Amino acid sequence: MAEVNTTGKIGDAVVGVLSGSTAGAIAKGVLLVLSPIVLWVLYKVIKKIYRDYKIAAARKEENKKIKEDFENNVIENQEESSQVVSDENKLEDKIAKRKEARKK
Amino acid sequence: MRSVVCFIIFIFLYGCTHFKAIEDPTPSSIDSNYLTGDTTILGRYDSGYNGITVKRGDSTEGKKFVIHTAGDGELFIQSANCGIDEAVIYKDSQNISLDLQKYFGETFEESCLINLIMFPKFPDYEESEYPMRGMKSKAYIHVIPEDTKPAFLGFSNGEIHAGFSMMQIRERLRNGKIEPRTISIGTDNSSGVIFIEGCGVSLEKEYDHEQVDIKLEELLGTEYAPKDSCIFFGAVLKDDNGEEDLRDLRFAIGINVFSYKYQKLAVNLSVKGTKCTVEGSRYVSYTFIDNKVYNSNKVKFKCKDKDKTYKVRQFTVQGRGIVILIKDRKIIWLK
Repeated sequence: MAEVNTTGKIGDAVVGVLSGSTAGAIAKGVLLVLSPIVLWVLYKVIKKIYRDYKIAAARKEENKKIKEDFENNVIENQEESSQVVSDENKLEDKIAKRKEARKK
Repeated sequence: MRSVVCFIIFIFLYGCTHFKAIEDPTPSSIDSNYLTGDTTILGRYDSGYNGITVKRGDSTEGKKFVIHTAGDGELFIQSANCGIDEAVIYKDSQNISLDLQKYFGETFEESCLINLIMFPKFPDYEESEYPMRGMKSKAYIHVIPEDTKPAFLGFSNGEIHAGFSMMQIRERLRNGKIEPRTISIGTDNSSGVIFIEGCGVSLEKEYDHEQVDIKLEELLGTEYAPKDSCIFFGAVLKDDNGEEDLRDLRFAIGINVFSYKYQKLAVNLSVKGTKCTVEGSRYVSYTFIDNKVYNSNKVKFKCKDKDKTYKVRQFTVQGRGIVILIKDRKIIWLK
């Protein structure tokens, strides 16, 4: 009758190989390939989040400035317009006075 | 495998068509009080500050004020003097034309200062990490009494204008000196007196058969800043000295002072055969050749047609802009 423990020896050998240095090497290899990819993906994700944050901040700043610039422009026009009318009238008054003086 | 190839092609094409704005670390045109943006008023074209003199009672029929936009965006046109308050959404660099009859009535009666502010939405601006600043410009319609004539104004740079003239000057030169500008006022070879009035300044000068030179500091003082921007009104009153035409002369000088920190854009044109290449500041994000937009400060284009005027405009995200007109492969106008 044949000995049954032969299978056991082969099984031990297989298990030994897998749980020993070869399995470790495969795992290390996989990690070695995956880790730069994982890091690269992580870098890209962080970069995208940061860029989106900067874009959102830029649009917020832009809208704030548009509102300010628009309001300043309206005020500026009102002030300058009334200054212009006042200066033109002053000049006309001066001219009228001069002409009046010349007549006399 | 096929999907990977498609993805790479997509990324490549996306990269090719996507506009990317470039940061401009210099002060914006609006914050520096520098006027930019081109307009045509009653046929007179200019960039930044524009204006024209008309006589009281002149017909407004067919008289237009045109704003030349760049790309897409929003435009606000305001004037407290003549009741203009318009908001326009523009597209594809279209020209916005205002019929002045709508605001002035049948004839021009009163002067009118128009302020414009443009907020451009250049291609893919939503993806830009930098805020896009607007651009301001002004136009003035100077109405003079019907029994007067516009005076001729000559400037140190050789320009001559009739009636209304405008200029943009830096608040102070880097060496602390002011810009040495002189304005010569034509007097029709008469004798008499010149009055100038504006923003608290009153000048009176007698003259005798000669043009009258006014130095910039006589109007603005020596410590002028952007807040001192002003329109100065003047009259040349001729004495009765036997001259045939004794009509008084009128003029107005619009002066816009901008910050010494503002950096004007410059551009270089090089020509090779029938191809022109314009190259501007490295901070330029957008170049318009006529109405076509490019995402670069350097653009090569065909300028074969010698009779055609090519309009080139460049802009940064800070609203700094430059307009160049090219004809016969030479720059004929730049501002």
